[in-house]
Amino acid sequence: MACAQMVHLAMECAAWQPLVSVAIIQVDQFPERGQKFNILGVPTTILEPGTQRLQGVVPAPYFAGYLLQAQT
Amino acid sequence: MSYLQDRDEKTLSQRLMALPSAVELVVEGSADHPIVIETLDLVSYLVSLSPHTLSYVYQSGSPAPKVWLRSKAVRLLDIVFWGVPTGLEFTALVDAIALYSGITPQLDVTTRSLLDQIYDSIAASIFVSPT
Repeated sequence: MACAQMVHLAMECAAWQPLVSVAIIQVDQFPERGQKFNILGVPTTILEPGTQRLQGVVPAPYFAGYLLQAQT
Repeated sequence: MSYLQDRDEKTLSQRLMALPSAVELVVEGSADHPIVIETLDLVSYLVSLSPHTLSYVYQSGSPAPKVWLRSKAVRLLDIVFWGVPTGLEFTALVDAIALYSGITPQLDVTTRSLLDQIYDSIAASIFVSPT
C-alpha cells in the first residue's frame, strides 16, 4: 500500500509541475536497476539531479520540498 | 484474460468511459520479452473496457520493456511504468490515465505552492513491488 501511495503522490506532482518526470520501476522485474541504486526496500524514491533518496511514504508538502531541493 | 471480477470491471469501465479526453498507452520493448507480452495483454484488456477513450500502440524501439502514455489534453506529463503494472501498480496506471485525460491533481495549497517554485527538470524514480 505504501508503494501505491508514493506513486500516486509523485504522479499528482508531475501532473501539476511538468518539470517533474516520474518513472515507476518494478524492482523485482528490474533487479539490475535495483542493485545499481542499492535498493533495500520499497518504496524507495531516487531524485535526480542530486542525491536525494526517500525511503517509504512522505507527506505531500515534504515530497514537494525534496523536489525543490533536488534542483539546487 | 480478465484481470478483475465482474463488479470491479464494470466500475472501472464506467470510470474510464467518463474520462474527459482520450488517452493512448504506448508499450515498448522487444516483442518476445515476457514482460512485454504480459504488458500487452494487460493493456489490451484495459483498452477493451473503454475503447472510445483508450487506445494503445506497440513500439519495438526500446530494448527495455515499459509503458508510457500520451494524450492531446495533457502534453507535458511524463510518467513511465517499467515492468508489468499489475497489483497495486494497476491502480496507479488507471490513476495515470486519469491525469493524462486532463483530470486535475488533488494537491493541497502548500504542495502546489512548492511545486510552482521548481524551475529545472527533476526525475523521480520510484522503486516498487507489485504487492
